[in-house]
Amino acid sequence: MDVLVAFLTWYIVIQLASAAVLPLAVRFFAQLPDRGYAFAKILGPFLVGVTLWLGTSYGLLRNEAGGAWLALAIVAGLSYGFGGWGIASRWATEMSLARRRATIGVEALFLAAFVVWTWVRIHDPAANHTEQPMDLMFMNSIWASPVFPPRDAWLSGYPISYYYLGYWLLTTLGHLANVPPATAFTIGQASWYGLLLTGSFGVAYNLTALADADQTGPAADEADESARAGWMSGLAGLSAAVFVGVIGNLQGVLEWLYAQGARINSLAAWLDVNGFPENAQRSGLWYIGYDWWWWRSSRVIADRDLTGGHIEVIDEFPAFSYILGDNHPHVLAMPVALVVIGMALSVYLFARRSGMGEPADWRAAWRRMPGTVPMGWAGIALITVVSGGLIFLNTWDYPPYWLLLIGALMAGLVTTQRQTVDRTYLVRSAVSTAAFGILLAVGAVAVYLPYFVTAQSQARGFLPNLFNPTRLQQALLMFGVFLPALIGWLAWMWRQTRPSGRAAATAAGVVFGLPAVFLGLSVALAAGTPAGQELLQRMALPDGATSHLAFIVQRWTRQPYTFVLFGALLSVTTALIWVMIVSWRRPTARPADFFALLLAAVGLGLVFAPEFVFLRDNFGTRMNTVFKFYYQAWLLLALVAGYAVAVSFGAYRRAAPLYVRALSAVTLVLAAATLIYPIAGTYSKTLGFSARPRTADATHYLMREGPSEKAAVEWVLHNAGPDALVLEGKGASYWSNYNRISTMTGRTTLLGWDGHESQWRGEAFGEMARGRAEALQSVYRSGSPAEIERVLDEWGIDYVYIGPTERQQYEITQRSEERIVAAMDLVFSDGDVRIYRSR
Amino acid sequence: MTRMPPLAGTNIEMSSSPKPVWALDGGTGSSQAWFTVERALYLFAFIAGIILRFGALAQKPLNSLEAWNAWAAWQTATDLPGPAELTPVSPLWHSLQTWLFWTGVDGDGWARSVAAAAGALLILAPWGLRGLMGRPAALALSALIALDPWLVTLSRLADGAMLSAALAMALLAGAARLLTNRRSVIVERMMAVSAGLFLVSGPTAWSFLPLLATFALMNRRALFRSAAGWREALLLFTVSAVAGATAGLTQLDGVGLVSRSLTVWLESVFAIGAPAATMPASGGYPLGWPITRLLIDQPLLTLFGLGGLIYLPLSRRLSSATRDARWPLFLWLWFGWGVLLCLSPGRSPFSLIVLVLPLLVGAAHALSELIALWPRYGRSQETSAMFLTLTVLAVSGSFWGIAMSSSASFDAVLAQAVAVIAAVGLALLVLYGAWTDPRQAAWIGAASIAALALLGTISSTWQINYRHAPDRRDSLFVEKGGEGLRQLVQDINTISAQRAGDPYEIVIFVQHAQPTNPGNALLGWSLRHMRRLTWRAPQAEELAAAPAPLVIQAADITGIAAPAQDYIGSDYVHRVIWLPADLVPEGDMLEDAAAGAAARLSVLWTRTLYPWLRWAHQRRADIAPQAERVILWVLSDGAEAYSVGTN
Repeated sequence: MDVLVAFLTWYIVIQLASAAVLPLAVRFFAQLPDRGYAFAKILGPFLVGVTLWLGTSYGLLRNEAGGAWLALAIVAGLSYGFGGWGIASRWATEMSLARRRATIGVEALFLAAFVVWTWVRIHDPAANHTEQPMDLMFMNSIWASPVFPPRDAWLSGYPISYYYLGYWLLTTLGHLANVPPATAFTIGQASWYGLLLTGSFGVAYNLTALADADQTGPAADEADESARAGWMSGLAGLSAAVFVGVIGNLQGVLEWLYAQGARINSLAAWLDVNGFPENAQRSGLWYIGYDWWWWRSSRVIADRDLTGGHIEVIDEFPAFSYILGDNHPHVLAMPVALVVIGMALSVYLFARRSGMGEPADWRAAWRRMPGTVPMGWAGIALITVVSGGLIFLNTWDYPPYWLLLIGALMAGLVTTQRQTVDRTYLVRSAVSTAAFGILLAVGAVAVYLPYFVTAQSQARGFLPNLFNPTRLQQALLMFGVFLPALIGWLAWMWRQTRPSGRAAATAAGVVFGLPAVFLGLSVALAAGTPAGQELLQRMALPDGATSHLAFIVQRWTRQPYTFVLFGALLSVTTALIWVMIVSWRRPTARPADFFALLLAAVGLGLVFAPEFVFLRDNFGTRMNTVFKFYYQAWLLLALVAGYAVAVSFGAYRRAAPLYVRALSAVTLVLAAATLIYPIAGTYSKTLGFSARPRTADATHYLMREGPSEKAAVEWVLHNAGPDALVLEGKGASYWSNYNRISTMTGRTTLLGWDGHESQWRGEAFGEMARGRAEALQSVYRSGSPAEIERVLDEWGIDYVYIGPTERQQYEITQRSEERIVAAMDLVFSDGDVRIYRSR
Repeated sequence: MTRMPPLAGTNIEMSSSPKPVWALDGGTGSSQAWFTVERALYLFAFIAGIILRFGALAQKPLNSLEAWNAWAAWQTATDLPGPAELTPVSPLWHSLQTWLFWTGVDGDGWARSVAAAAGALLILAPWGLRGLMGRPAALALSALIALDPWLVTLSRLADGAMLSAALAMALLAGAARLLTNRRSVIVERMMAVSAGLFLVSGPTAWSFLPLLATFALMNRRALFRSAAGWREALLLFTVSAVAGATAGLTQLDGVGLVSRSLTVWLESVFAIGAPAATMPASGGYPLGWPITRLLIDQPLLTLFGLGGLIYLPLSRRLSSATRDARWPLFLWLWFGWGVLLCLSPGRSPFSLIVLVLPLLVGAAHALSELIALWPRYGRSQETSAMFLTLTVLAVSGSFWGIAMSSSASFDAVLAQAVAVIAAVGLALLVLYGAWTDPRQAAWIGAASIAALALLGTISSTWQINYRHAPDRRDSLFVEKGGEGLRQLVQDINTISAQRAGDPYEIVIFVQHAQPTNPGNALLGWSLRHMRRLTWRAPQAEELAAAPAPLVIQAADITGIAAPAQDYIGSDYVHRVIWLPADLVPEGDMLEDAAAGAAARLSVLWTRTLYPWLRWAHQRRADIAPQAERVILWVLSDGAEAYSVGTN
């Protein structure tokens, strides 16, 4: 019953938030066939959450239910103010058949995905593995922080230093729906899955519907448009949603084949996925097994150090993320990224329709810039808030989508049919676009300044990828599902557009040349400078080897194919984009195709880039870069593949050539095959849906594992103020039995998962953590009562928690506990769990 | 002869000018005088209301809710530390109370004075509703507001609820005035300011917001036909809201408290959330509690309030304004909303404030109609005779009734006497109606009942707000402050004067479990003048080395334990928890099902009817209420005193 209530209230809240922004969405996305209805469902919760965050940051609101509802009211007021009171009613009453179908489709898809994933999650709600405790800690920290900044529960005295907007959005919805973090963790994730599929549907639907409209010309009347409301647009949307959020990569197929006894050892050896098939079993089960076999699909890319040792590289994709059940920033950011894609499409179409006029000079170009964006300055503000939010959601996402936005504006301006496009106009368009890009970036910093003020980062520049170009077989494992459709469609575009050799060569030259120059310079610097040599020394040479250069040459000559393949595809895409710009009046050029090419270019670029460069962080490898770039690449390539499949099979009135349809069919077959991954993976993760009781409470597992600890958690929730400091033993990353109080209540502790804190705070962490471990030792292990009192006073500790982990970690005996008893008052006792309060 | 003004006018400004009783020019009537009979009556109601609201304002100790508000303001005004930061829930109330304490005033009475002033101003709100209700009904409403027991109680409560109600009614009156009169820039400006202050007045404002929005929506064409001054209105609204929330920009975090007030409202209405660290928890009122209070405290509203709401849409005798179906519809929506709030899980006396106002309007309409019929039915000698007879019967019956309800044993003779008197009165009316005019008889009956009900209401006002004694169950709230705290303060001051030479200088430790326990607010407010007060339990070593002269064990400490040897303890009641549902003990009403009817009636009387009747008219009960106590531990004379400073 609790699950049902939580589900219903959450669903209603999302619907309310969507309705609140509907006028704004309808007005901004007026160029799109569905008028932005799909994106409104994501935009609503996002804007409400950001409004609450901004209000809390500046002391205008409090992070509570009242603040959340006021934020919703403010968003509704602004939406109806800027969008217009009548626009929503007109949208509803003047709905064509096509748009009605799209609206119903969006609602049905969201509800279905939300229901299905809620069902899955209530069979596997426990937040007790991998980094789920971290996610839960963030949500509880935010929940327990009514004023800005939200406290970091694992490092008392400091605010959260991580991109926490995603957690903030979940807790905002939790405030609105009166669902506490432990339940919001699961219900919120399920709703996010629905938003992911809805957003994917929205992008592909609009693109395909635009393609259909372009092919057949403007509608003569409403009935004509309704008649043209092809089912293909809806199927395209559905395909994209499935490609983005449901299917797995090809590793899942191999896992299943191996489990059924297929002899693929040689193939597996060639693919060289870490742990496969060594750790796999020939179980004969349709769901493969209850072990974490599905984990390996997120580790198909495997780097090797110079001694042949394995270097972990992460290549997650949405289906994996949702099966795993983490509420990580990259997962929470994806629906918002889809909204940004929709915004880019809207910007592109609007700019194409409006053009820039004929500005006299570059100053006039700057002043004309708002006129090229939907809703003018209000639209720019909206784009700034949403796209800038990506920095706060998952910083890695911002650069590619920022590029997409400015690329969309530039492309729209130079492909306008409102006026003559000459060199002067191109320059003015570039100025206008540059101004737009600068505004977006500067505006994003200004809007989210309170976040930047409190955040630290571990990023320390860029490094060249000298030793680990991706092996082609692994890249194909990862993206092979999408490539056939993509290649077929690109080939078809090439054939229609016929770029000149010069354009193709230029594109290839840029695409391959720049990385080559970068790598070459990097090698030269690495060999010729002390700093470079120091970096090289971090990659240990095998016994007997003396030169890193030999390995660089060897690796690149043996494994260049991923670089070549994706570079080639990127070159083709770039050439097509260029040709379409300069020869727009060719009848083969369609806005939908053009925008899809933009998406493809960014997506391919995200796969291509880690081949030669990665961000330098605490890990020291390209693991994180591949992780974050490939995640967005999956999204973009999946969308393009969905579109490509749709146009291949008839979005246009004339069908594509046979080879294009054949390649799209291959993609469909591969995608169908990989459906085994989410089905078997879900069944496996939930242990066959056997969990009882079915609950959405992510902490319910503690009732079984540690009832005394659970009771202690409840006691702290009801008796300790939100700003109380509850001392726990020092945390250990990835171990859920540590820091349970701070994780599940949001009350701060002295030192939690220090490994993660170090990642989040970089070099600053050392100073922040100084003395904390010693203080813990003093209280739990060795200090006298007077020393304990001194430590309590020095660090402002309100409670000391002693649970099974602390007893083991600090070897607490009855005698040693008496020191604490002498210095504090016992306020909770259950089993071997104690809570003491400072006097 | 002075011509009476029309009974109801649709447009006050355009109707013929009433002939004034006192004209400013000496009574010649050549110019329109300001001070009319109508205004005089409003003034009279206002003065009566002021007396009822301000009289003996400090008589009762604050309850924990009031103490929470007052202590938070006191801490802000004096920068006095406490065991925890108390987050105010009403920005405007906090601002006003802080300003008040900044001026140097102090005490329970002053803590309540702002609410009393707001409650008094509420009496004048019906002036703006004259065009909508008619002048007699509006005047009647004003009088009823002045006398209403619940409104008087909430006006004597140190909380922002009455601020919200007064500002809401001011906005409603202003809107009504704009509907029925020429547009007035002054009224619009005042409304803008009121709206800004209303928004920041606290949780109760959110209960009224849907009503104001509904009224605006129902009359949007007339109210918003000209948006020329909206910018100025918006500016005034914003400035007043910010100024009100931040105490004139001296407490900038006050703006964030607006969302705090909405949170508290949501938590209180839906009984959700974990307000452990926020303020005294609301809720705990059973489902039958609102109807119980309505029947017992508000006999006039029970009969004539509901009756007036039913009568209003059916009547043809009303002014053309009130013939507009929107006003009765709005009243019914208002009443429905009040009922919903009373049915919600978090029902409380603050829900009653929303319920009582439409009932008062209904009663005002009903009473004004009743009075309007006096020339037709009330002027004859027979009517006077009937009234006299019924009065005698009523007085007689009340004596018998009080006597009956004062006895725990059922007295059949007394019951029969009361029944006979009531029957005689009814029979007289019926006979009179048959003899003369049934409608006249009905009017006499209604007028008599109205008079009785009004007396009952006034009695309730008196009982709830003025008949204060430790053994009375006279609080509208589940909790009231115990007299023990005042005694505690007095004892502490005495001991301090004896031992430290100053009534506020002695060292005191307060031992408590939860920093934000509601009882701590009571302690904090009561002991606010003590200069060496420390909010922590003294440690054993401290006491062994230098015992503290006074240690207070707060109510949330379970068990009784002297801090050390040589301490003598006394307990003081500081909170009393009681609800009408506690009148009847749990358990079988009838011990012996086989007993005869008389015995069962006797048991029923003793266990149920007697307690209820006694409480209804005397506000007394035999069963002791739940009481929370604090213990004062005093170091016996001869031991060394503790001499370090406070925390």
